[in-house]
Amino acid sequence: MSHVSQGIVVWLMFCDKRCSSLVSCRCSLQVTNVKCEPHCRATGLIRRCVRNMPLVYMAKILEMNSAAMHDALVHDEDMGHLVHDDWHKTPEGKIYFSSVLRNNRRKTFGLLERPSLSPQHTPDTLTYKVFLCGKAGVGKTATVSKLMGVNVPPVHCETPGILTSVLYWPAKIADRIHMFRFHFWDAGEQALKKFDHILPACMEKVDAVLFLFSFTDHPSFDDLANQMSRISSTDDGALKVVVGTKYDQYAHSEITSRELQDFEHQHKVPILKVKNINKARLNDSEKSPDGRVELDDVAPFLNCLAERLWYRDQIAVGLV
Amino acid sequence: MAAYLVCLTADGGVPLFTRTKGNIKPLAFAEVGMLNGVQMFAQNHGVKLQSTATDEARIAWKVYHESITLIVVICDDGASDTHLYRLLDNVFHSMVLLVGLDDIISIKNVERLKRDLKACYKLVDTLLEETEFFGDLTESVDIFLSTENSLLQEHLESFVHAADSTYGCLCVMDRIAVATTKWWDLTGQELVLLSLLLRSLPQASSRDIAVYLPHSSPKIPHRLLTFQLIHGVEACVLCGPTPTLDDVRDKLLEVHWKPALESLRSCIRVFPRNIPLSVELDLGILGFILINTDNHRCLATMHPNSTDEKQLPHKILSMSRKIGILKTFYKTVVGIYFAPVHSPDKEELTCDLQALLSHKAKDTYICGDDYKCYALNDDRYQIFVLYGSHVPTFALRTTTQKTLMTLIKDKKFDEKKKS
Repeated sequence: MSHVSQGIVVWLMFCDKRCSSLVSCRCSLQVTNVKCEPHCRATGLIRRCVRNMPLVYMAKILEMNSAAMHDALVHDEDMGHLVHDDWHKTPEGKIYFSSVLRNNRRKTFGLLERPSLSPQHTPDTLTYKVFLCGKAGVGKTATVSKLMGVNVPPVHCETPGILTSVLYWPAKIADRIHMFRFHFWDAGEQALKKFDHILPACMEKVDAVLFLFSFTDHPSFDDLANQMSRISSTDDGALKVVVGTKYDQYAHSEITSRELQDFEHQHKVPILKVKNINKARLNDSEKSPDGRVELDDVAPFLNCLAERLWYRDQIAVGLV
Repeated sequence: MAAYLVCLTADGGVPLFTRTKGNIKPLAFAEVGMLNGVQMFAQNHGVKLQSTATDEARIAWKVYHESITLIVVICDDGASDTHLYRLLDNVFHSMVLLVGLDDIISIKNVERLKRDLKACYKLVDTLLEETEFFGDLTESVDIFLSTENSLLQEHLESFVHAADSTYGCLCVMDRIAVATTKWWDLTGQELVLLSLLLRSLPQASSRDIAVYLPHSSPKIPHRLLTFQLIHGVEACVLCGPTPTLDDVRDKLLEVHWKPALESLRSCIRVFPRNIPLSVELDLGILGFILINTDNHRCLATMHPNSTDEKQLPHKILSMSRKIGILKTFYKTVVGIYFAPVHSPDKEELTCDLQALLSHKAKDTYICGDDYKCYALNDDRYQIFVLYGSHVPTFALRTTTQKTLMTLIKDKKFDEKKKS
């Protein structure tokens, strides 16, 4: 099909929000100099197509003539189109999120428990193992607490081994609802260095690795490359995401947006940001965080993670 | 109650860490130096400085293995020094628990040790905090009684066996409900510190933590695996290099615990009473601590009666007030009138009154404005009961005796240590 020499031809199919009409378009792009990262330009084109149609979901990319397109799409900042960030606020989303909230507080589930939903609302569960790594004190445990919707520890405390946490997160991706079951693995940096069994245990069958750095600690940002090379020997094609913590202290940030951009570009990894603070608290004895407010806070982060993991699976089984 | 805890190297006096509790300004470097200097000065003159008192505070020193000096400064609450030393011992053994004895007694690199010791901060802070638990105070682990215990024991045994271990326990709301015989064979301090460790860590679905058992295995680490079965219930197992966390979770958890799900759910309903509803207690009782000094178990409740406390004729005491009264009562009685519960390696302190007496005190009581407390010292049991002020003083003794008899009828609590 590639009748454009040295170019890229992409077939795209879009559908609107209700899936009532399918629009397919053939985008072709003449690239004069192949060396100038053709996939970036193709991505730009797709982005432009997507923007021209209001509220579209990218359903399927039918054909591509460049393997690099996979990468381009996975690392594309327009990934956000597969998932709807405010879905948890819609009436449909509320039904699903009611299973992870109790009295406006986030529920935590034991290993023998699951969120209970009525039979007509039981989505398929997708389990992913996510490992968090980064310099000591960067906020790994705090990030997990924030995502889980429990109280964020007020001061840093070294984690003496591995802590794992299970988080259930319903999300609507490409018009299908899934229950994501994230299994976060958090290991203290000192313990990781002291005992050799910890890193292999964390990396075994891992689906995603989150590399954490702190906006207020430049050395932690410099350490990212080290962390990534340490992991890369055993990663088995895991999704890599960089996470910047303490984004609430952006005014004191030691990292410029230019550095972030360069890093994102060089390593082809997305960078997410978290603010590990609890804004609103309930008026109960434990002063637990307000579940609804916390959902709003972490929805973009978790939706993005869900979407990328889902997309990775689609590529793995050849659906994309 | 405000407190400072300072940890230094014994030979050089290099500060390893300082923990501060309460709203007080942190110790200046010079103050830390002075606290250590006094002790060093005494040591150089062949004197062992143990403790001293100021108008408001008490200070205690203790050197461990000629390597670590611990100093505690705490508000004076009239308690005996026994409790200060117990606190220091617990702090030292918490350090051993997470770092290992080798690294502590032969310090090669102070900076590295400092970094390693950071892992203990949370545990040490928990020791300084005032919590609803009595384990660290009584050196007997907090337990939880429910009618489901014998059934859960079977599930636990099979689970622990499948995980290739003999050490395991089931914790309900951070109190031990059932444990294997081997687990109960650990010393009182080990039992208490392990429970405390789990409580001090952030909540998690599962954990894999390397621990050095302070008395049984201070130099070789074991892995402590914990699994949150349902909210508030955790299964723990101590094991060697295998099996991995994933293996236990994926292969054993569902098989061994899924059939017990209903028992676990009904078990947790007993909280916060911590004793089965079938055990009836006198309505005048507001709370109690019962200690089995033989097998290091401690049963405590601040909700002894299922009926609404507002309907009872006495003044309502808040939960924290009840705990505070009982803790203070315990501290003024034990070490002065009653002998404290000791772990095997503890040196006896001869300065306490009870050591000087030729006979043992059996009972003691105090009456406050809005409460009364009665303590009874039996062979293997110590019971501390908090009563409402309406209970006549002459009835305290018989009611306490009756309560003790009712509670020890339960086999679980009475179980003798096999060794």
